[in-house]
Amino acid sequence: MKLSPEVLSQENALAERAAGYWLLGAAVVALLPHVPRLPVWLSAVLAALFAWRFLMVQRAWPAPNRWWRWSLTALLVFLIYRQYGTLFGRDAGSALLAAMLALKFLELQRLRDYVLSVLLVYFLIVLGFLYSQAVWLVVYLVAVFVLTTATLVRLAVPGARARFALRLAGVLMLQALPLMLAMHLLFPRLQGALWGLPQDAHAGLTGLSEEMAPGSVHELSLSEDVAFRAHFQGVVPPPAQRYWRALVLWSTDGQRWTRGLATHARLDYEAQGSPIAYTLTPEPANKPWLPALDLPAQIPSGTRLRSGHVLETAAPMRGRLSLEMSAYTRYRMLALPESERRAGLQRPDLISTRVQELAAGWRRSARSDAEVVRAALAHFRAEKFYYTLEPPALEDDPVDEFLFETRRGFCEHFAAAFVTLMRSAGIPARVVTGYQGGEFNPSGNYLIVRQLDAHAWAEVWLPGQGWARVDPTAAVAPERIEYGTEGIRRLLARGAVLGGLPSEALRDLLALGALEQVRQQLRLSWDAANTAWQRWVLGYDRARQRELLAQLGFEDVNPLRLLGALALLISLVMGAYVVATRRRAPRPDPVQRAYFDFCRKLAHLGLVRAPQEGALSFAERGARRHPQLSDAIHAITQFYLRLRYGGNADAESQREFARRVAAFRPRHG
Amino acid sequence: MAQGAEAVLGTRQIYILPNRHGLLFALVLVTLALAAVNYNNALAYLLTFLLASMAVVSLLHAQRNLLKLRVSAAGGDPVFAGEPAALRVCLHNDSGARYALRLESAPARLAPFDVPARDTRCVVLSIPTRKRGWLDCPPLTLASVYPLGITRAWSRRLTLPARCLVYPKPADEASWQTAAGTEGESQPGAMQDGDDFTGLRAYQAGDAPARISWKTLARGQGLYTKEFRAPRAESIWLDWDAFTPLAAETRLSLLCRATLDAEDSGLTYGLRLPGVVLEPDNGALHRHRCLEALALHETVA
Repeated sequence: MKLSPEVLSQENALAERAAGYWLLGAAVVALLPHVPRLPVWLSAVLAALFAWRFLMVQRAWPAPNRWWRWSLTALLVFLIYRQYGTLFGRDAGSALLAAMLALKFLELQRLRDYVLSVLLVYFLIVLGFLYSQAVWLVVYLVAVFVLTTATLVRLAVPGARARFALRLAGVLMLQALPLMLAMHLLFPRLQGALWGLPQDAHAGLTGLSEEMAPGSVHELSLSEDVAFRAHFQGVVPPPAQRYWRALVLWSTDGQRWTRGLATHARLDYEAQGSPIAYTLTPEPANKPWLPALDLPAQIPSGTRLRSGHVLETAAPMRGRLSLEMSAYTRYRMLALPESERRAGLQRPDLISTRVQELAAGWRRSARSDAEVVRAALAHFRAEKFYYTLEPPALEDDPVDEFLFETRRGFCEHFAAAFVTLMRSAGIPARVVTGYQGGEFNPSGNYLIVRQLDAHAWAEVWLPGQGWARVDPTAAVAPERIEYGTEGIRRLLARGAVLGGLPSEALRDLLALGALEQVRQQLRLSWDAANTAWQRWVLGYDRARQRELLAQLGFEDVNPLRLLGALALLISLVMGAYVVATRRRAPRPDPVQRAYFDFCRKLAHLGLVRAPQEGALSFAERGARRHPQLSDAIHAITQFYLRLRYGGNADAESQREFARRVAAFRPRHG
Repeated sequence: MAQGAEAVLGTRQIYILPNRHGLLFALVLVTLALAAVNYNNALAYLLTFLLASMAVVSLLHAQRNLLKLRVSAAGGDPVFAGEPAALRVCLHNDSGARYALRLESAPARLAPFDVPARDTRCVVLSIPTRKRGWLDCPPLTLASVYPLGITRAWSRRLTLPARCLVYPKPADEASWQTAAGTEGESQPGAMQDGDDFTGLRAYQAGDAPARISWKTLARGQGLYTKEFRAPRAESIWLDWDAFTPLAAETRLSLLCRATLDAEDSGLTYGLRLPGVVLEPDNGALHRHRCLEALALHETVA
């Protein structure tokens, strides 16, 4: 269909009047969440382009000609390429898309240009989700989505009012939800990316690192980022049992601790009591290790056991995972594998004689390994060691300097010193890093564990018991275990001395003001909403899909079958709808129906009511043409008008009207 | 004018397919799905699914927008060939409002319009005419891109029995002069007639028997014919045979012109066509009858 220039400009004017400002508005609000990530110069250019468009419409500014537009496009593409080094991927892609959309606004000529721009806005919305999936952003972008759809409606129905367009967009969206849900559940999910994830997908994630050096855990102590959440089916373990083991560090050079032993040696243990079941939902950290409660009773699929009974995923965690876990907190290990004994006794090359002598002294006076452990913990308590959130820097031999000079440290200092001492005393020992504690959220029965809960402690092999957890930090500052890093920070801020206060005093010190309590409650409720979202929407992946379908009784699923099922479902729903509309005949109200009967009877006399002819003028025409029927025609018409416009059409008078029409039997001639 | 019967759009009369914007939409959907898969992003998936589902749901809205709509058509006032004929197409809506309807018929491109709930809206299609006679309502297609502009729902071509009368094109001044010139100044075959008796003249073969003066004949004074004169207007006959050598259409065109001129001059005129005789009269109705006879005259090939 070729359009003449007049038709074209008419089409453009129509589209502009119907949806010009809407489109501009939708584009701007869809772009807003991107603005903090875009380079400042690009944001400025975008704002200028949108302002230009606005003035083009408002003040009839001239549209730039083709040469200008193309030059501007080429320039922006070049600048974006220079900024990002590529034109593809999430970051450069969204910058490019935003620029293209803004440029498109300078050449909105045909209806198609408007539609294309609306589709680009949809694209921007989806790109927003690639950056953040927080609930507030979703709420915001859903609103933008409705506005964008309303713009599409206004382009399709030029006369549509704002409320109509918004309502129709909302109705369409709500009606689409069941189908969307079906697609969500049934659309085949692939494992992994199509082209491999671009480098920019997971920049800037924090988390425990692979090795421990003085200060490395402390780095995390200020980060309120959530590390993971753990939902419990039953009772949540008390704070003293909330040790989330992520990494076991065997080897050290005296300064740094690294993992060393890689493969897991088979270790027999006897568990006591039933396992604690929970669902672990880690935040993406781009790291493979999974913090798990104490001793994992099962190994979830997609994960494997490393030496020291810690779990890691096969690939770094990038997407959302939701893992069904279970843990034993009471157990006894039977025999120490030789590889672990050797690794657990490795002493660093860098170890001062003072440290060795301290350990040797305990060894000499103790009758068992357990007594050595007790002596060491007693030493930390008696010799005025302090747990501090601002540990002094340590230079060449951190263990020696910490033990004999600064005596102030964070958990990693205590753990490293303790393990070094135990190894010097001939007791197999290892450093464990992970998280300790977590904030309990009663609305949802789960624990929120943050990066600031990162912790390091020790495990020693005690005959008859196996690897036993010893937390030297707890010996010095039991408050850390009971109230977490946040609690410690509050206690220290209020001038408390750690390690000796009665619990009532602590509770008083930690008590929150009324306002703070409300704030905490709000924060926890919000987190609960966010978490439910994570679990049921964002965490839905291939494994969940298989699980769900298995529960529904479909065991053997493959992508083709899923697509087939989806197509079948959609056709069934559509078919049912079409059948339903075919059955449901349009039913004008009984008065209208009876009046149409009346008109039909008159039509047999050759008196046909014209489409736009009012009932009254039709009656007058009929009375002139058939004077003998004049009274009947007028009576029925008056009755009809009274029922239809008089506003008192009760069922009885409706029936009466129908009877009168039925009794009206005009004869030919 | 004949009242057109109506057509009701049932499910079998309605078709829906994506239009060009719909294809663009589908392309965007595929791209979004690829992004969702590649970034394994649940919300990108969800939004893609939402858009796809809305497209599916919009098909139902598109169908319902046309379903059970009653379409009727009526021909407008007669026109002369060459003038555009007006056909009035009405859409009767017995249920909720219908939006962005567009009547697609060959000659006209009309702006889309809405039909409010339980109401009727009419559009006038202007159709160019070339031939005299009945102009049938062209097959109508009712279409709409409601609700999202990415689909086109349209009705099967509706042929409604409405028609519009097209009079012959009146001959223009020049051809009238030429045609009249061949036959002399006065209208051949035109007979003066009237009510007032003006006198007697000698009988000529062909005089109507009613005009013979039986009184003079009875008195033995010979055969005379009574002459009458019209007091207000002259009465003339417009005769097909007066333009004998000309082609049929040209004659009809000339007669059409003659009818219009006679009516305009306030003459009383009659029309004689093969098989049709309209007694002299005047007025709008008579004019219409004459023109109708000319419009519908069937020429023998």
